[in-house]
Amino acid sequence: MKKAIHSPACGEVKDSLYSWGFVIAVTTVAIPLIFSQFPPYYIKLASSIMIMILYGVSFNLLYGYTGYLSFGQAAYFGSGVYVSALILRSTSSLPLALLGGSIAPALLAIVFGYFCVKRSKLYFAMLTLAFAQLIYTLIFKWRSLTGGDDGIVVPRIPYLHNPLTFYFFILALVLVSVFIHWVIVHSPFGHMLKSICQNQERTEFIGVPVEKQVLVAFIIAGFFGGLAGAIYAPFIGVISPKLVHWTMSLTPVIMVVFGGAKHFWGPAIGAIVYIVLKDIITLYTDNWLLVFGLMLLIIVLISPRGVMGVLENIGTYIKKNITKANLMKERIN
Amino acid sequence: MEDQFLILLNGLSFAMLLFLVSVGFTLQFSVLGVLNLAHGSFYMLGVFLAITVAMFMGNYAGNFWIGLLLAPLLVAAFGAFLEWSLLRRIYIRDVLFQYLFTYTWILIIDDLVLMIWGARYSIISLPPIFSAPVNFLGVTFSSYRLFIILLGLLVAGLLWFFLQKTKAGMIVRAASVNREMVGALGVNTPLLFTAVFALGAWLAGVGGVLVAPLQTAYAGMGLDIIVDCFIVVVIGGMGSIKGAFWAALTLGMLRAFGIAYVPQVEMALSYLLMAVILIIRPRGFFGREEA
Repeated sequence: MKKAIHSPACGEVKDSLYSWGFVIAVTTVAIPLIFSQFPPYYIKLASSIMIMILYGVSFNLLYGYTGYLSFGQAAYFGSGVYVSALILRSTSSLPLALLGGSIAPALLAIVFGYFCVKRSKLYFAMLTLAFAQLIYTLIFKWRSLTGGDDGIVVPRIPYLHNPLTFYFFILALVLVSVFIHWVIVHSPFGHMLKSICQNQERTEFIGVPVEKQVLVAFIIAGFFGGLAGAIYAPFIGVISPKLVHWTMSLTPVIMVVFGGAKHFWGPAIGAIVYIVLKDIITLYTDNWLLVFGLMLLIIVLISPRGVMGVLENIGTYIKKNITKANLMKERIN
Repeated sequence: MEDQFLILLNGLSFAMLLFLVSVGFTLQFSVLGVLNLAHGSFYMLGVFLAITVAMFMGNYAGNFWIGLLLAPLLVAAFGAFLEWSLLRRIYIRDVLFQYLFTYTWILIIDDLVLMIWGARYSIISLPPIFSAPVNFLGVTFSSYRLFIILLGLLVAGLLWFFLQKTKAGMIVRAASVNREMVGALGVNTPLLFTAVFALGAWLAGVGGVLVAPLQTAYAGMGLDIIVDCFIVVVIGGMGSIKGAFWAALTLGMLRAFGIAYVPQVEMALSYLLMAVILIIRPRGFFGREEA
């Protein structure tokens, strides 16, 4: 018998699409429009936020919804980056690059995922990290194909030369992909994932092939993580093994912990917070890992539900006080 | 034939290093129930502390030995402090949070190492006693690597003796089977957990100091070794010390012979072995049935 894990980590996942989705959509469209008068730096910042939102949301399908923590998403993001860059170099066709850059990581996720889901959650986190390290070493050492440490210069896409145009292209791609995630988590399959998260044993008992379902979730996360990487390659222009490094696997983890895993838009909030914070921190110090490490440590220790959790706590606190005040009034009257 | 014997000895020295580090990792897991992802970072701390001791002592010939004595103790103290101040707060939490928690230590320790020791690559010189190779059973072999093999075997023997023949060891074994029951029987479990965690960190530190003269130190070497530790526990069985020993031995041989005969794909061999084990015997050599 496996030990049942009653995990407070797997409460209900909230997803008020209309409220938060609306706010996020408006702000993400509005920000570059306002800033189009400003240097393209801000538009590029907004673009990278959008890409990271996709990366984070795809990761959260595994972590927040299924309860499986992957420490190796960089393998899929990074292979998306490299496949896309190599296709762009040989054919300079963006659709082909996006297609290849998401299907190749998905195939990789099938192979690695098969082993990662073989045993418990404990093994899953370890194995994802180990396989990601394998991909990193492979890309680092395969100089003839990947250029090793020097990286690859990705050719520019002529019709996306203007940063603002590129931004809107990324925005459209990300919104469509995130919408697909929304559909997935509301489908019967999505409910099955949530049930796996809340009680894996019971889900198994009612006849759900848990391993297979988690593997499918892993492949989807790999596909969209790869897609995020595939668009990141032409966006960033020069790619290096840094994009497959374990610190890249850390990115979605930080975003989800910051934003909160238990909300559909948690990783999106987290992506904004993470990119902006990193931009500010790296102005002052090179030791951004240390700063983020300490922040993560404190959040995990104090408020494991992230920013969204804090917001909800404040919300319930205010509500409680209002009812309390009303009660007091009634008593006085 | 002599060549193969030499490869075998090389593999053995590598296996012993791997055993020293991964046995600490698996011991911590079996008693505390927490996988310490930052175990590799403790190992790295051992390496850099040994370098610092060597620099501090200048050209004094005994600095390696003082490093071997001092650095792992410092790492163990650091580990005990982390367990006492932070880790014990999250034992009751979900396994995902425990993972996230020790994961943050990697970031913090790795970046602190980078801050304190810088990005330059450093290596310490072999202690003079090991400067000449020795003639061992008919082959000329690095005396330092021979020393590592002997030390690894010694530590394995001492660990076996401690766990199987002493009362404290019996408590540790009991705690790995049922923590609550051990606590109910009047054992001071918080102290036991701190001690076991410190022991694990000490073992990582010893591995680190031993590797310091062999390989240049770099920030990030902790992640490479932790991946090896993962592979060891998957192959040997999670939480099994016997498993860690045989898995480390297997991996060491695989690596040594891999480098000698198929250097292009050597790196993938250990992963391949792990994949095969996951298919034919998912619980590993000596793993328990339940995960």
